[in-house]
Amino acid sequence: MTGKQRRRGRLLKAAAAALTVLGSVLLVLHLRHAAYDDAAGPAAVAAATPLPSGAPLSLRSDGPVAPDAGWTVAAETARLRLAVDPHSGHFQVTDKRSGRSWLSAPDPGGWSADGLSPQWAANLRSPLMIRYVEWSLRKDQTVETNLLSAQGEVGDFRLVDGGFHIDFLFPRLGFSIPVTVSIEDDAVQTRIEEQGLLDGSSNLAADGRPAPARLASVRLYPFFGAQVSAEANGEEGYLLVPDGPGGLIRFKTKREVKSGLYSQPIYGEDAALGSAAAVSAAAADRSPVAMPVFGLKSGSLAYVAEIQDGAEYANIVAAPSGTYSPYNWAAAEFLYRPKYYQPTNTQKTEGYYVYGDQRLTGDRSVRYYLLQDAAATYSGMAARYRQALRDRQSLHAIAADERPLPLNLNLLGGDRENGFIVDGYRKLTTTEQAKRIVGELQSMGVQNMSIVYKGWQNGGFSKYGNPFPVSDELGGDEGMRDLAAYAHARDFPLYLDGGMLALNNAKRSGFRASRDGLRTMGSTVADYSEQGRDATIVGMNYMRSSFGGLLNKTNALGVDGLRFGYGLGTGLNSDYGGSAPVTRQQALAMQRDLLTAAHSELDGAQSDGGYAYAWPYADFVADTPLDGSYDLIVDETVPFMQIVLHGSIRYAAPDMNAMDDPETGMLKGIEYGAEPSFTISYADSRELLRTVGLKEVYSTGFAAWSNEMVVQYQRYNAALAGVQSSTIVGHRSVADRVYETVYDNGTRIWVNYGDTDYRGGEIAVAGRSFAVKGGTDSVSP
Amino acid sequence: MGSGTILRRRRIGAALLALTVALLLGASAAAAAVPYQTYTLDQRGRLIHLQPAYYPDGLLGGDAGLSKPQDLFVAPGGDMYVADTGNNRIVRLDAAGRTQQVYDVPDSPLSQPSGVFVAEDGRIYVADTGNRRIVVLDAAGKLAAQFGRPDSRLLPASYVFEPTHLAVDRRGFLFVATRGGYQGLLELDPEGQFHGFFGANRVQVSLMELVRRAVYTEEQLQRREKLLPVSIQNLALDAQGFVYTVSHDGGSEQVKKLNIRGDNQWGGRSFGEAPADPGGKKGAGGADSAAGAGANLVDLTVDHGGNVTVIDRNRHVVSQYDTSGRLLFYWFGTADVGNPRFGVAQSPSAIASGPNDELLILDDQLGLIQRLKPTAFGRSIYEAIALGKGGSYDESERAWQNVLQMNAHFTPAYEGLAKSSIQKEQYGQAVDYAKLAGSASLYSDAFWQIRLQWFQAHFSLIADMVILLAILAFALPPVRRRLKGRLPISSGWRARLEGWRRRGHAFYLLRHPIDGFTALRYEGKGSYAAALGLLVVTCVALALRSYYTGFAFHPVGRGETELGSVLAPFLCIWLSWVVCQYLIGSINRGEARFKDIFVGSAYAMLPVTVAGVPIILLSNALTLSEHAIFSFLTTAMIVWTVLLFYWKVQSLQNYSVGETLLSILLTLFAMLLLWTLLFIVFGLTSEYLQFLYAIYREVTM
Repeated sequence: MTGKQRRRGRLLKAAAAALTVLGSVLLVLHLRHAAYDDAAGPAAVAAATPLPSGAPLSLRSDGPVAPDAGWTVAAETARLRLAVDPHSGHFQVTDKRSGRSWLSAPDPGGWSADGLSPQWAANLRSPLMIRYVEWSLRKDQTVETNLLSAQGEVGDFRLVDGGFHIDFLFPRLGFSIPVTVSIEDDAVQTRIEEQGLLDGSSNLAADGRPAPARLASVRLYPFFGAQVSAEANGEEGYLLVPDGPGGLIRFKTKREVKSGLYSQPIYGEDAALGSAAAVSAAAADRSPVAMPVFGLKSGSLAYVAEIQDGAEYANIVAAPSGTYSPYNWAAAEFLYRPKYYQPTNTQKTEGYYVYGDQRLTGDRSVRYYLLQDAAATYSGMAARYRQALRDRQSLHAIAADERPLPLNLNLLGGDRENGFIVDGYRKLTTTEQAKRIVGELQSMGVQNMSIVYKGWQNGGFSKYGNPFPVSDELGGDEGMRDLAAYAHARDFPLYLDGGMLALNNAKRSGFRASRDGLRTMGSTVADYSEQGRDATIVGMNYMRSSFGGLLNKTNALGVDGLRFGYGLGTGLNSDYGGSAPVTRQQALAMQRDLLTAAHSELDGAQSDGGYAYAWPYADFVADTPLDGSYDLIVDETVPFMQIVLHGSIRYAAPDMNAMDDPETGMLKGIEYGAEPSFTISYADSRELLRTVGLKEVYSTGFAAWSNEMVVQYQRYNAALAGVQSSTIVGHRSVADRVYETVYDNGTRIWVNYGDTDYRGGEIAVAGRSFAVKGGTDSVSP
Repeated sequence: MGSGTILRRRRIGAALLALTVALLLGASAAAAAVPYQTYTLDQRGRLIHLQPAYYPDGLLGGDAGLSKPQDLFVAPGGDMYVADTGNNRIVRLDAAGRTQQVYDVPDSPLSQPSGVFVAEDGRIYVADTGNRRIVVLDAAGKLAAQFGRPDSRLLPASYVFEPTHLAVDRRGFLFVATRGGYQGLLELDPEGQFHGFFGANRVQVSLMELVRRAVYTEEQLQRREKLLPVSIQNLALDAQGFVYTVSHDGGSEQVKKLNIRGDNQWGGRSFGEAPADPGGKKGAGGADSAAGAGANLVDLTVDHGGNVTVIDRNRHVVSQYDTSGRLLFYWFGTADVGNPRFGVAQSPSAIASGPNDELLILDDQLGLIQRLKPTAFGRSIYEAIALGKGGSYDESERAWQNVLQMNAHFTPAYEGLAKSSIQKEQYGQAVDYAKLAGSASLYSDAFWQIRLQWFQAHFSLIADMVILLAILAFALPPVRRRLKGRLPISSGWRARLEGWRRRGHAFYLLRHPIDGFTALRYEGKGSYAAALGLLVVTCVALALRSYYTGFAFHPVGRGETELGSVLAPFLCIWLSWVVCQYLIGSINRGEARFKDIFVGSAYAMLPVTVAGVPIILLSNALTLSEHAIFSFLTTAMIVWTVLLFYWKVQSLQNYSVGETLLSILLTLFAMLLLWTLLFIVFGLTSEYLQFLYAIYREVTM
């Protein structure tokens, strides 16, 4: 062959390749289209049933929804009476003892048409608000509307056991949303049923094509109990949102800062969606919503609402008066279609947001517990929520313990360090040194400890996946067994950190990111990257198959159990890999299964910042938030979560030696009833500089911290030793920057954040300090 | 999927997306943390994550109803004066943010006032931008004076007097920043008469502009828009009389500290940090796209200690610098529109320091003032810096230890410790600290002392050694001569020796380069084995160079560089040289075979080993004061290598001098082409794959 021929041959080959590519692209396009037609076929048959025709929605064209005498009584319990207006779908719950009632629409007494947009006037009078996607126009945007504006109807009204059932119909959009409302004891429950829910993809428009609208989300009775701000009559009111430990949005006639809505997803963002909120930098430094609750207090009435079914698909939405309307209101917004990020290049730097076609199925329910008088406070709300969890056996009272408060000692094993030719390992605390630390702390007066070993896995702190055996450099499995025996001899439990179990970056371990990693809805592998630690989030199937072995190996080390972190109790992600995608709901069930297995096979399980669904399986929750997300819309942070947990699960504040402001942190920990926690290494803190993955661990050297640890511990112990198994029954601000926490055994703890001493009645609290008053004796630090 | 579907693309910066999951996951760990991230950069530009140096303390001015306020001045007592631009007035708030007084000058109404300054005597100076004048009010708010455009021959006719910000010094002289005033600050005397321009920025000339100037004709140059310096955006004064200016952007010297003569004390420095990418290891500039915009530095403030804080309106970065203009730390956080957050200004327009070290940041979108206070960590750093300046080394050491107790990653603290260790004559410790701080000069200072002490301690030994060596030098040659040729050697050893001798040719070559290379070509002295052996030796020498060079000359910690990153560039360049030289030679009447060039190029690298290794050893005994020796030897080594390459080409290809030079130039050019081609091929291939992937995504959606 001459050069010329060869060149021509190459040209031909290139042309052939180009044609092949073009051909395959066309083929795929064609196939997609065909597949679409096929899919539309059966759906068309299945959804051929026409919408039930209902009575026209009868609401006066202006003015508020007011409960008329003519409303039908749907159900009664010993305490409550439920009355309903079948024409509008609104209901009213009356407390029979006090005669006071709750309306599913805004309080008519505060209605004023001034400054209200027509859209919001309709929103306020509608029993539900929806957002939908105009599927044939734009798949990346939603339209917000309500039953009235969309010329909806109510249909199929009937009374059922304990309440009523109603279908909300949107004939123009082709939606049918079946709802039941029922009462039970002191609670009213609203439910969107899966059975009978119709929307665009399951429904046909007149011309036989699928209806163009797809349901994106529903807010059912969003203005249940909504109140205007009435500071004038001296009544206190606020909305409770689960921001961090709990946040209050006060009823104010004038807010200094105009904010939008408070709208946050329960259990944080879904990494498989790469959602808009997750990408925006503001998602940083947020405390994710850990509890599916919200509440409202107005004067002597209050409710606390728990989202029960479909919490994983809900956003907590709250708006103070002045945002859109004069009403303060809070609600759950249930998502029916997720918005996800679809990258169009391999670096994921370009792409677009779009709604998925697949509807998220399942019932969605909210249970409003109605409170009044003394119980109508945030601590009352927390107490009622705790009671509900205890009734369901999700929480249990912990046994009384005469021992001192435990010091939560997190030990830092070691990590990888960069090397010139090969990477090395930098040990920070060997198992032998761990014994020395424990022994020394004990000799310094810390008589109770709970120990967690971090960075114990072979390969060090920044290695995720395949953690066993324990690093040889730290003493190996044998060393860990020794340490466990040493700790148990002193009656201290020893846990291993399992925060890395849902992540993987181990080489040659059988884990392949492209096969076993978590797949996003945009079909990419979900990466994890933080301060030099890169890994892949493990897919749910791999997680399940590898989990049993982990538990066995943990038990073989003689330790008490694992502390679970991301992916097991926090970090709830759906997974679109494998043959059948795992929805967020299924992922939650799987996490529960894994945690149940861990709870039954290990002696104990701890959770790092665990969300409410992890609480039944945890003996201890670490890193409970002391602070919210600094949104201006949230006026105040309150220990709602801590009031729920205290006396039910032991919990700790974030590490004292990692806090932004350790002094305020200490006071807040005492106010919130949290146990103290430290992350410590035997090696000097300077050694952290050499590690790959500990850039955000500021200072851990035991020698430098030991005295401080003991001093802080003694303070905590003085305050909280006597209330370890008690529940918190009250929490309030007694003066500017002075707070009081009351326990059910009569102990009261005051914390003064101000610089000046506080003196009020029976107690005196020095500035930047605290005071404790038990049944008989009082303690000061 | 409907064919008419319209999808709007959202292009999102790479860094932004890199944040995604990292932030998502970091969230649970970030409980009880302020809504922004604080970082600093160490001497080598590495990013260090810090706990916050300031915490959000209050939100002020809510009841004043401010509208697009553009300036904030804090009086020594804590009273705050706000230029309430949108409402055409000045508002005085007390330290708690309650409105005290409103100045709207009824007899001569203000229009869009965007600057305010209060002199020590209580007179209020207002840059009344809309009216193009400066208004002076007495303490009660009565109009005391007003200055329009100064009347001076020295002021260009085209000069537009639109004052935006101003400051008044002790003498009563006014420094005025004007809109579009590229001439610098306008300096007015107390009567409002023109005194001069002050602190003009220099024109920043880009490389492209230099090329244009060289290539364009006079006429073309005249037609081009004239390059003007960036105008000064804002200014501040400190107690010592320094004038600080800040300009929008300009690559460097965005912030200047000017003395009374207008000399910049902070020349050559760059200010205004870029938001860091928390997921990566990169420092400033690595993730500009995170905020999707360039810097827009709008204001600065000087606190009692002389630390300067600068705000960036576009990127929401607050950066703080010490008195010498060195970065202390910077932080950034963003708030979504509609969801403002405590401690994060959505649109910062002005910044001021309060009497108790607090920072007050004016937000013109929310019409509020965010108050930040230093945390214990922030305070401890200020304290340590102040003590270091005061010269009390014991106290300074304790203060730096205190900083490290809070954050062991804060490497500037090790610098402070190294300094005090040197002062306390604990040089061994100082060396350790200097290494942690990555400071070559401190290391060098400490090592100089250690070396001196060692010499003093071992003086007699050294003297003895010198004498001994001298005796040996005289005595040895005769002995060696007598031994020569008497050693019995077996034939196997002889063969092995022959192999060594071939490598030994290397040493012959060093002494007689031209003959040596000629022998490679025509006497078959070289072999691939020998060349590969030499290459390996060179690689080892390069590795040693990167790993064992003295810290004073190579201030990089062990393990921070990887072997691959040292060797890969060398091998790539070397190999492309060999290939290109062969190709160029073959079309240019060269006589060398590929093998000759390969072997010859390996031999030509000899100085890197022969001279390089001793230099590495020597560098461990030298300090920066002997820098000249080190750089001379290194240069000599390089020159020697280059000469060997020259002779190599000349001898192997059998060229004349001119031909050799031409051949070398052509080879270098060919290398450039080769690399460009490779980049293009790889670039296009990956682009093509990207394109296919995008199509696939689009189709399967």
